Amino acid sequence: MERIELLYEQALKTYRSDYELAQRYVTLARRIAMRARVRQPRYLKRVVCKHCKSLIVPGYNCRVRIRQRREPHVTIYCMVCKRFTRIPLRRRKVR
Amino acid sequence: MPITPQNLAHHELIGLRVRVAKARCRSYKGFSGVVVDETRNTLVVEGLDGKRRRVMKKGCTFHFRLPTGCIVAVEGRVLVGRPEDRLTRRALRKW
Repeated sequence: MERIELLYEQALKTYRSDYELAQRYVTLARRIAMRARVRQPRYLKRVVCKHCKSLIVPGYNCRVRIRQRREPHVTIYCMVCKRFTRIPLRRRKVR
Repeated sequence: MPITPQNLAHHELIGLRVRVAKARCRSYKGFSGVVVDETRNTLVVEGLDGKRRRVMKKGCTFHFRLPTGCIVAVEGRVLVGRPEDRLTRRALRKW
């Protein structure tokens, strides 16, 4: 529901002044999503670390890099749990 | 579904402006600010002076200001419950 989005919005607004509170909002939003059995939209999944479920903001506590090795993909390095998340980039169709 | 006076009790309270209209405990009364956190039995309200206070939900009547600008009086009793548990509709409808 839109409550989830609201919470993420709040989290992104507050992380600078109070990171722990922002983290609490993320946890709440995730809990609401699980309770309501709603899928989290993809753009919101990008804001949360896959491993430790903490709020990650590029330039604040994570690094985002584009890598070309093997296959083009985006690498997100979370500074909280110090692990990488890889998101493959779909290859464009050749016209 | 945007927040309305009807679904307020099941909606997100964090981020709303609130005023404690009536309270069993006198020191809470008249306190106003923004809801920053919520537990099963309490609301954490950040006042205009930046101080955070924990207010019992039970035994209080709150005036919430919705983003649309309308002010809703809610008995704290209907807000009791963890934020993720308030999702489901209950028959308790008195405000």
